[in-house]
Amino acid sequence: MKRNLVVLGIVIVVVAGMLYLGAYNSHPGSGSASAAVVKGKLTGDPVGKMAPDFELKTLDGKPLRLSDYRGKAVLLNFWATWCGPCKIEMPWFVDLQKKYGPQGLQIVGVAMEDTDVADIKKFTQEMGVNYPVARGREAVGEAYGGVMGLPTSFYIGRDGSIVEQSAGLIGKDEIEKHIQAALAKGVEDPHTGTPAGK
Amino acid sequence: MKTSAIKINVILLVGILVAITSLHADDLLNQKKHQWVTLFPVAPVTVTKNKPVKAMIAFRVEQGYHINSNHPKSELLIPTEIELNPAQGLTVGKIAYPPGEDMSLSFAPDEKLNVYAGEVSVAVPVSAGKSVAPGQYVLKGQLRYQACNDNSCFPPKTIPLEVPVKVVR
Repeated sequence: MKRNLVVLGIVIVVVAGMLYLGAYNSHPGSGSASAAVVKGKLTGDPVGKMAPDFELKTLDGKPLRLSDYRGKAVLLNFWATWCGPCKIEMPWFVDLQKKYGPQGLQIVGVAMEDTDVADIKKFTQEMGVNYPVARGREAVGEAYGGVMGLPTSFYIGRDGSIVEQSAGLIGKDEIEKHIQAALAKGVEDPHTGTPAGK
Repeated sequence: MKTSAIKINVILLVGILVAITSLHADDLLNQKKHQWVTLFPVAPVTVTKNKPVKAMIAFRVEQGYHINSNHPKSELLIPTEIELNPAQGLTVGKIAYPPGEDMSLSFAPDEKLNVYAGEVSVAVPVSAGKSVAPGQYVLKGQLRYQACNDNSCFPPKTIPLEVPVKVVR
């Protein structure tokens, strides 16, 4: 009897998992997971959770891993060249990278499009982008809860946890506040060893 | 009695778990399937040989959103396009897209976009060559667009479309 229940429990888990994966993978490009190593997946409200690590290729073909920036605050920005609002905030990011880079900010752009890499690179050069930009993969978008609308940005603290998320274009002042919060997150008070502010 | 009660509870649990998983999976699918444009059924056209007629492709953009016109103001922007595949001796002529309306986002009042919003109609010339036998045909193709609202843009989408064509002598 007990064995029957255990077997039934296993069957339930397997069936449920297959149903979930079936929907999760039923879209074009999902087979490109091999081009983007992803660890973890966000569900629900991302604030307070660890940002999923991933590895992508920059526009120069170099590997870019989110975990390489641990210890810095990261503004992870999903965008595309065909996205008008994305173009508006890009010059703001350039300014903010210059202003807060010395304090430990790293902006990372992820281009979520099938456009030729050379065209994306030309676009970023024309915009004066001064931070790394990677060619996005759907697997990374999925790991971050399914990035449907662009721009979508995640503000990640020095400890790798998500401080804030923004979907759609927001004002430069608001972006700056989120950056300041990310810079303060994961910083220890030198006297007490506890998180700063606590 | 006890065994029957356990069996019923287990069956109920299975059903609930499968239902919950299906709903969540369905939610993911719905997000990916969402279309910001609704294509109206295309009225059939009647073609006599070598006399082109215009098939009207009409669609509505979801309220609160806009799509780039066929001639957006930047080559980086994805234009709205209709593709119809010629078939069985039927040909598709040059499509004259309607002009879009100029607008700008509140965050960038100086940057103009040329867009379609609300209901849009596009006339597509269709003709039949001399060798086409009278009868019923269907031209197949797709409408491609890319939608935005005031502060977000969404990946390009395609909607399949069909144009019923009747060829008469």
